[in-house]
Amino acid sequence: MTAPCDRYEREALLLLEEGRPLDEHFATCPECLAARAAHERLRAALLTPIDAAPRAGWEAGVLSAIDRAPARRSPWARRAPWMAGAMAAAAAVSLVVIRTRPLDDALALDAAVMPGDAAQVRGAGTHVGDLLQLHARARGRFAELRVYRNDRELVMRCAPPQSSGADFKCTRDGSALAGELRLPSVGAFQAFVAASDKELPPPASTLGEDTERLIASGAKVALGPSVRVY
Amino acid sequence: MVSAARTLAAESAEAEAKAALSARDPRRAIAVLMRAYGTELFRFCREQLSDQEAAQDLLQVVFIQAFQSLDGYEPRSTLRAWLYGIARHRCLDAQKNRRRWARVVEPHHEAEGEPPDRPDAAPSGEEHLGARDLRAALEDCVQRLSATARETVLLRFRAELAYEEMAEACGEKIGTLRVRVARALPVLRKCLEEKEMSP
Repeated sequence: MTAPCDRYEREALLLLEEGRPLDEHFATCPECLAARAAHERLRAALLTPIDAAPRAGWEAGVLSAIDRAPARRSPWARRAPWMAGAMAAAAAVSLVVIRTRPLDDALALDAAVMPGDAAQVRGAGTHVGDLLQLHARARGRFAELRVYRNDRELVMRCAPPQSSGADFKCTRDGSALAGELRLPSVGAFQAFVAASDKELPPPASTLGEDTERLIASGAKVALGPSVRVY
Repeated sequence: MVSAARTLAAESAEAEAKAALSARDPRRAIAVLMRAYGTELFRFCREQLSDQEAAQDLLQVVFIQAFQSLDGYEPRSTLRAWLYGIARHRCLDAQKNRRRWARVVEPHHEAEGEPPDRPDAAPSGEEHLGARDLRAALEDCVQRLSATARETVLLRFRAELAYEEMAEACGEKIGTLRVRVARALPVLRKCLEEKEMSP
């Protein structure tokens, strides 16, 4: 018993994508003809858009963000030097806000980056000296905000009442934790919030190992977005 | 392959947006581009991430970044393909963040190739299978592709980009993309067959 012909999928699909003609085999081989029919139906189905649409009015959000923060990227304004002052002022209040997916109502972490030098007109991106602002919701007797650099170096640990360091300060008001870190160097900065009714294990190693220890201790952990500093 | 209506609408939007850019009115250009391409870029992100809310957020990020980058746009390709390139990058970032999240916070969930809120699988072949069921099954099968294959299939068929535009959006060689599509299609067909859904 011979195996069914599979030349259509092995050869013809690529030939068709390359815009090349198919040889006569594909017009006479019953298995290839059947495969061709199946693939034509598949293509037709793939060409049908999915049934999904963005929320009404989303464009207004984009235009509003553009109007609020025109200075994050400024070549349009650089062509008009008189706009530099206005851009610098706008940069002082411009924010890039990234919301993490909350684990549940009890734990969530938002992060924002505030330009560190509002008087300097620069390109987009996050730079040394920018301020990383963290706002977390953490229900539990014990809660901490931590930030690691390159997943290895702990650069911020906010475990109120201990609430400040050389480059950071933090507060806790009920379930709300807030922290600010002056980004000290280039690299990838990763924040998380942890909460538990039991005492949290202190940091000892890398981001991965420390979060595993926290989770093993029964704590809940919400990871923030990674912020890359250039 | 590209539908005539889409071609006409795209040509009109491209011309209007480019006119706005020539008039140094990037805000108007972005408004035109959002109106013309917002929904399809949302669908692209939605299928890339399998997450309605994340796609909604990402859509706004894409157009804000587009506004910031409009001065760097070089008319080698269409604005539409250029926007898909931005959306693709932002989706990749989101996928990386999700994998990181899954690795650290949800250690029992293997993120690679396993999106968290995949659409419901299609019903069995014994039930009545209409076009809606086929679409749902196909959407699920697309989610099961590798990230690179999924992206290529979406750009090729859902977005109906030409290979030249795909190459620019992805930074890949045209030949590589053609091979990727030709290899992904049998995977999709088999996936549908496993669901007892012959395309």
